[in-house]
Amino acid sequence: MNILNNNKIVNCASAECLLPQFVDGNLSAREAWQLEKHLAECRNCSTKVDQLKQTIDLLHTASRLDTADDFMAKLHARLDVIDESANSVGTVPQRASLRELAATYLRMLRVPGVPIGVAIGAVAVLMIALIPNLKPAPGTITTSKPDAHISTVVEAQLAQTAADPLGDAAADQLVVHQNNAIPDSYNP
Amino acid sequence: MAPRLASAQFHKVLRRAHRPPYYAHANRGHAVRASKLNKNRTAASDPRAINLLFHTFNSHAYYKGVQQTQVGGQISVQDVMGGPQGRLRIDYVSPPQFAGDIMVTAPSVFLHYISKRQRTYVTRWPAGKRQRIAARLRALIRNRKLLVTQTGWQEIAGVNCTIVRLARIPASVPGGVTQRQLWIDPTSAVILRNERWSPSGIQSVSYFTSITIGPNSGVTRRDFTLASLPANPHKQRVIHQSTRVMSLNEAAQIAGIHVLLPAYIPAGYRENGIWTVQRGKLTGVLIRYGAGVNHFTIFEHRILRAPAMRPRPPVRPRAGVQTWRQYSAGATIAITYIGSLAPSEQLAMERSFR
Repeated sequence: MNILNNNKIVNCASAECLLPQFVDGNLSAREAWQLEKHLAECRNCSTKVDQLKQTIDLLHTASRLDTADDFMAKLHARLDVIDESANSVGTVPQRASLRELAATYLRMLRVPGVPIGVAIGAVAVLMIALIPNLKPAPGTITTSKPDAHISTVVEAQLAQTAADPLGDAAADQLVVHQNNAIPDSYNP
Repeated sequence: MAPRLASAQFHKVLRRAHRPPYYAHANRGHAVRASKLNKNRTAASDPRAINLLFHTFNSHAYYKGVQQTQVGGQISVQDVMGGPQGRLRIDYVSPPQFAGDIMVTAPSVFLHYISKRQRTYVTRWPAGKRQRIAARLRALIRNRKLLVTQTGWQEIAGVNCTIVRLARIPASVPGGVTQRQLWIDPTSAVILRNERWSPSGIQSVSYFTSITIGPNSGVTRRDFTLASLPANPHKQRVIHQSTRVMSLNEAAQIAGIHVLLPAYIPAGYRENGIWTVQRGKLTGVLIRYGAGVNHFTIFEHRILRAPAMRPRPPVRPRAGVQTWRQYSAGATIAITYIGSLAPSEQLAMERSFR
């Protein structure tokens, strides 16, 4: 464990990192001995260890709450819907779908024994919300709406077609704007 | 000893020697020369069709009519006015999302009035653009890269038109691959029907359903000015500062990006030029590819603050304009395709960017 400096715990911050593993009994004998020495001298850290142990005991004694049998099936179905909407070309993941998902979970709150399900759902929603923020991997392709710079170029290309006696600006205009290729915020 | 030619006679012979082959075709006396020059080609351009084609560049006729455009399943109806030096005004009647929009092309300006936004976009270009396009077309014909032939006659909106076919000549297809079919009124040189083709078939068609050519049309030069557009307070100039550069490296250096290129380019297309396009502090790279009279454009620029999104490859091509983002060399780059390639070609090209 790199937190120990020459096998000695130098401050409370480094000790705090080891506390969960200490409670679970996952530390090596040397690390546990070092930490026990620190706990004997530090009231704050020993209090934290006590609180941690109490919390774990409380969780062990709490009754187990089960979700409905079809909870996971429903969750996956909802996730598939979100995935499909994100898959469609030229669209970013629909935030409206996330709201619908949240509304579904809120409705399920009325069913007894669902809090754990709600917690899982919340984690899932958070993950879905966070995944888009990941940087695309090198070489991957993704779709998006054109921005102002692109709109300028598109308008300039349309002008270029219009200037060409063999061009068909009417057809180009129809093609460019079909499927809402240019959004309402079009501003060259 | 061969007789010495007089200066005038010598130059006459020299001019004949440098005449493009299609001229030779028209002159029976030079048929032998034409056949020799066409030895490796099975098809040659038709001088009458070429003359008519270039006549459209210099048409002085005023006209007014109703035009219908079809692209895929979409249909648009427009009121169209035309005039000398390529003046063209298109007033959209349908579909509803375009109704009220107006596009005006004048010798050195393109005006695009979008009714929904009550705004007119103004794009200017240097004088002589049409002449440059005509010169490029002449070069394509002269270099045997474009075949211009007359394929027949047909009546469009009551006007008897000559059908002129423009085809790219790849080495493998001696008859050429059709790129345009134009129905031209031989008297006024007005194009009454314009078909755009790709190797997979017809892509778009615009044709007049009714037309009045000449002074009776009531069209004047004033119809092609900014003053003729609906009065509105928003006139916005499309600032398109582009600079042509000689190499991709130079463009990449100016734009500060690693320019991605398609590993697959549709048959016959080659790079026609590279430009850097500046808008504010951001510089993008524009690459234009061409094959005969068909073109497509790739525009790339760096995304300074990449919006949240999931990496998804395009599952189907979007006709006209498609933008996607690719992460490369430590930066997110927005790539935009503008063109009218066949869907399969477009998708293959878009997925091959490296």
